[in-house]
Amino acid sequence: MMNGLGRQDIDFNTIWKNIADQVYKILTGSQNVSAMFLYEDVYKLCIAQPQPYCEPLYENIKKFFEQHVDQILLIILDTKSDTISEYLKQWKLFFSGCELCNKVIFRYLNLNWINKKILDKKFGHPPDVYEIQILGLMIWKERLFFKIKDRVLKCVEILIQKDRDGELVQHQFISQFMESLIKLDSVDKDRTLYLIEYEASYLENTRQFYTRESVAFIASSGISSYMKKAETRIDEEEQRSQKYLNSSSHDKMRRLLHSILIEKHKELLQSECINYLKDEKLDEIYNMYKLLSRIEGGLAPVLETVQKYIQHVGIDAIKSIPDRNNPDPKIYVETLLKIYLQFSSIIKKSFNNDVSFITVLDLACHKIFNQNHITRNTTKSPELLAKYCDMLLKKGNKQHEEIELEEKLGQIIVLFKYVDDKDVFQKFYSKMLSRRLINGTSVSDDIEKFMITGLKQACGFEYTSKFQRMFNDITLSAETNEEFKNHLIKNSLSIGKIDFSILVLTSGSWSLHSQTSSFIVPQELTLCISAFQQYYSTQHQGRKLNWLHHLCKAEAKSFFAKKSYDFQVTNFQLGILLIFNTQESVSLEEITKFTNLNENELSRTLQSLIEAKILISKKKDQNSINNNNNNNNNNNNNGEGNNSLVDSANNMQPSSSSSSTQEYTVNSAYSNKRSKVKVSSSLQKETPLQNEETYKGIDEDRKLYLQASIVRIMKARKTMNHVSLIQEVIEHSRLRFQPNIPMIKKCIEQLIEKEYITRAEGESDRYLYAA
Amino acid sequence: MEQKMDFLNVKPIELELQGLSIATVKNNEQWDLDGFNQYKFVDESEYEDQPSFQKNLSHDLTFLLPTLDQLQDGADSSGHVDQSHLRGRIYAHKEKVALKSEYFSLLLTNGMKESKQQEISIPNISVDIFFEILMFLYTSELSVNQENLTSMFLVCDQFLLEDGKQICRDFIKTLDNLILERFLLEDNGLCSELTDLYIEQVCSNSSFFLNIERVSKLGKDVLIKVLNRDDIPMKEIDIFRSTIEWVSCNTVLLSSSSTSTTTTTTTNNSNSILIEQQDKNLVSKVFHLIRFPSIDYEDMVSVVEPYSHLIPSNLLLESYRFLSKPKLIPMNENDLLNPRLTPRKKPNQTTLVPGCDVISFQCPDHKKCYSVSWPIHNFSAIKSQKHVSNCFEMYGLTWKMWAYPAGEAKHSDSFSVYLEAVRVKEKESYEFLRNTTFFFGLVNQKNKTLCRHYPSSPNVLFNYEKSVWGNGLIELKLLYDKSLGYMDNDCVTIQLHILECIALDG
Repeated sequence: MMNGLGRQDIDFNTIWKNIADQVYKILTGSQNVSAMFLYEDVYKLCIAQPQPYCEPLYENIKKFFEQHVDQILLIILDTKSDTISEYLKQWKLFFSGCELCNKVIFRYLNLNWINKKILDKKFGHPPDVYEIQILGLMIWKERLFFKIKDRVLKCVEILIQKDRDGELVQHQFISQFMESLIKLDSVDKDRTLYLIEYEASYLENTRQFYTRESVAFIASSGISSYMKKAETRIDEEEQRSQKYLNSSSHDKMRRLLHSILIEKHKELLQSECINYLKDEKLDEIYNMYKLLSRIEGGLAPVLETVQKYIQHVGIDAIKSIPDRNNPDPKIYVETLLKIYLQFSSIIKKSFNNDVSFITVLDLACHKIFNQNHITRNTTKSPELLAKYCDMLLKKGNKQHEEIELEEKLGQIIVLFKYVDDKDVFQKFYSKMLSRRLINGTSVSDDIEKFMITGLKQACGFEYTSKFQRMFNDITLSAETNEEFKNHLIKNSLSIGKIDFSILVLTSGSWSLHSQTSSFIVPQELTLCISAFQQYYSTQHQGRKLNWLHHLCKAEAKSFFAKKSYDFQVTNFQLGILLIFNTQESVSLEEITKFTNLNENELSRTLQSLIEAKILISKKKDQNSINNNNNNNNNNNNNGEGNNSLVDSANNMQPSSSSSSTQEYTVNSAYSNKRSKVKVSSSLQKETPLQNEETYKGIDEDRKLYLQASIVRIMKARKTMNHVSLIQEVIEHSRLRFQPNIPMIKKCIEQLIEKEYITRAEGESDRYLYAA
Repeated sequence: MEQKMDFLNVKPIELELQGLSIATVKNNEQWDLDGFNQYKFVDESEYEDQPSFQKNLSHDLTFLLPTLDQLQDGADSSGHVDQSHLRGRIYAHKEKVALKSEYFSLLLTNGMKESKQQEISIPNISVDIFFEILMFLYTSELSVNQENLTSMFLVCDQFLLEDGKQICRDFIKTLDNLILERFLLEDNGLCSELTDLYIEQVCSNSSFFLNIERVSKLGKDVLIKVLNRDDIPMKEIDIFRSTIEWVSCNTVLLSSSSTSTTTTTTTNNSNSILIEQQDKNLVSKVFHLIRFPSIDYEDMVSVVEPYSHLIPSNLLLESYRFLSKPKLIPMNENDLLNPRLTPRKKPNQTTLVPGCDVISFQCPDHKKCYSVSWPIHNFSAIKSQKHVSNCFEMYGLTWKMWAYPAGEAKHSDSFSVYLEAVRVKEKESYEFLRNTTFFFGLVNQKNKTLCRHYPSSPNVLFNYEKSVWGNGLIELKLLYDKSLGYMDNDCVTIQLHILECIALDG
């Protein structure tokens, strides 16, 4: 005896009847069925000896399912209204019942007989035995669904239509029906029910519905309202797809909607773009952008329209700037900035900061900045930009807050990126920076460094390396002056009553005009210069100091008038004034003898002092009388005063000339409201000639750059033809400036003369690298 | 009976008081233990993570099962035990039970009756067996022993506990041969899978069970299955002796001669004839599984011949015909289908040996040619440069075939095959002169129509000085490309066709 599991006579029919009764209860939703007892019965049939009853059991299950499904079909057909509701109710009961039978009741049969039968089938033969759940679903599909398919599908279609029309609809009916189709498809490889019967029909209805709606809506309400409507409808259908369509269909649905609601009307949408831009309708632009960005290639015409519009607005704005040949840098740059900020804002708000539109803005600004009517055939833009920077960075009438300055400079750096000839900007900026640093007229060192950092980020380290060295020189000079004073104290040396400070500038880093005249240093300054020279040579052997007196400044205290005045003068002016410490009156020859200034520079300097009314020019006979009076009065003209050598880049052409028979004397009647007087110097002013000189310097730099570039290219290639060489040179120099081809050709000729490259024999358009 | 029922009814009420009075519970538990002492229940209330016969606060599932005597009573009367009278209770945890068993997990969650109540009734499994099953679900350890093996296997099969069944299978493999013999005798065929496991184990120890002292105890089905196997580590003559012993103990054939001399009634004669006929069929079936050609000639004469009246005559004829054939004549192709002509494999053979045997077959293309086939099994086990076949005899000469699986000097990129006429040194050379026409073939085992035949070599002279001829058959890379089919299951088959072999006078 096997613990009660002994061999028993199996009455198949009795056990099957019990199984059938219980399975019927399961399939009809009863919850009071004992799974354990039912499972036990199935188990006994499967392990019966000598012959298991697996096959009869399977056949009986199959027949049972068929009869049951036929009964359900009758129930559904008897339902006069609400077919879909009854269908889904019956489907739910049947499916969950099948699932329970498959997983629990007939689990042993599935694992021990059905699966083995399936595996025993030869490859390629269709199976004739299925797992219980698959068997149930197949029977449902063949004997019930296909017979009422059209009727049920029609009901679902009507429900979806009502949902789109805004009526209250039982959403779960549609989604449950969709899920039932997918489950029925799982027993078949073709999967036709969902794809062909449901999805295709759903998509076709969607297409028809929205085709009609979109055309009617545009006709009645216009394109602007339609854009909002379309966006709303797309969102609605997105929600509806989540409920009514399987995830495998969502992409198809999305593409269909985009095709109907956007693709078919895209020309109309795109043509409205220009109107919205003109009227600055930002909301409409945004709506249009959202729709067109959903389809492939939808934004391409809009990009083109926006670019043309920006260029048009920009060119027009610049045309309204007065004085075409010599515009105000501030007006010019701020006009450009306004255009950039305006469209940058539009792109941010209406085009969602789209990278494509940012690129379009860059292209348009590039054209505006380099090819407007002010800069036609010139490089005016970078020059004006540099001058505007100088306005901002120099101490002046307007005092901006530091944060405001940083913001403005940041904007200028944005504009700077659009400039073609960046070397022109560099040249002008360098010159003006030199002047600010030497004269000490910078607003703030931090602001200067902020600007240089921005330029470095835009163009790289090499572009701003000279600027950096200029700052280093200023810093080092301050340290050198401090050390020099300590040196004087330590060694008990004296340089008189003069306060003396020096800037040591690295050769090649500064944009400075060369000294235009020789100059004999006044006696009072000789001691200072020699002392520093001696000190510096002990600190840095091998270095050579070159003095730039035309850039020096001095502050002199005078006592020849009724009250004491402090004059701020250039070194040249100082040299002339100091002569009067020992003489009442001097002639032109004497001044030349003392200062060694050339005729042009001397005339310019004397003129500035006469205009300031410090000196008086008289004929020779009058001078003798005055001299006698002065000598008798013992009027003392001490030259004592603070002398500060500060570089200045101002040079001035002589504006007047004096007769050689003139005599000069100080004006004892001089009076001024202020005690500190800055003597005006024409050296401070920029002249068209100097501007022209700067441009010549730019051209020279460009030639050097091009020649170096050509040599590098030829050295690498060894041989190259004319067209390729020019093309590659342009590529190399594009980042700095736009070279013109005649300049490149000229450089090639010069290099041939210098024998760096030669022409290939017999080929007039081919070059060889020599040396 | 009635008294025990009262105890079961009282117990739940007592357990409900646990939260109120610990002392009371303890006293009652002690009293209950005395009452249920015959079941040897142990108080396991402290071990919350164990199934138990006593309920504690952590248990949320109750199994109702029949006791052993209830099952015995039920088997006599009807197939079902009334669940209202189930007396065995085991308390458990739903989470633990569902964790290890997908079946129970579904049972407790499927929405049917069991998943909605705290009690599950299992009608046909005893409470003792099911307790062990629960312990298996809790601990992954199944206590299998000789007494409960059958029940454990059946319950694991019923509840689809594949791991549990595997533990039972492993246990069967550890059984001692004597115990295994007892299991076989007691097996009632309730579970064919279990019976097959027993027989499989018997076959793995066939030398023990075929021992002449024990063989008579085997059932006829077991004996037939054992004799069918190739790996019996016994001499065929010993297998024959054991079979004779089994026949003499399990049939009436050997005593029928003495019966015939006794005077019997007509009715007795009729019954005896029927029984004798059945036994003859059985004996004939058994003897067909003996591989008589493997027995030596002397043993055939001295041991087998005395029982020739029991053995089917065709088997003896087959054996004598096989033994009388010269050893060098290749076996016929049809003989390969007869398992009796194939020796049983030796069990301790660990190293693979390349095939050397040559088989004759009827050439489908030429009626008059002599053809042999050389299936080289374990081709990759060839260690030497040259692999040589066994000697075989055709046209009055002894031949060999050579194969170079990695090429040789003359044909370094090809699989070369040579035919050698074995020289006999004591004979004169002129007797060895043969004008021979032959060719080789290479079998494509995936598609026979793609077999390669190589050009014939007409009028090749084999003599004492030049006795080996051959050529390269196929490129090595094609041979070793398994997708082409020339090498399949590590086997390469070479065919030799000799069309003419004419002796010439010197």
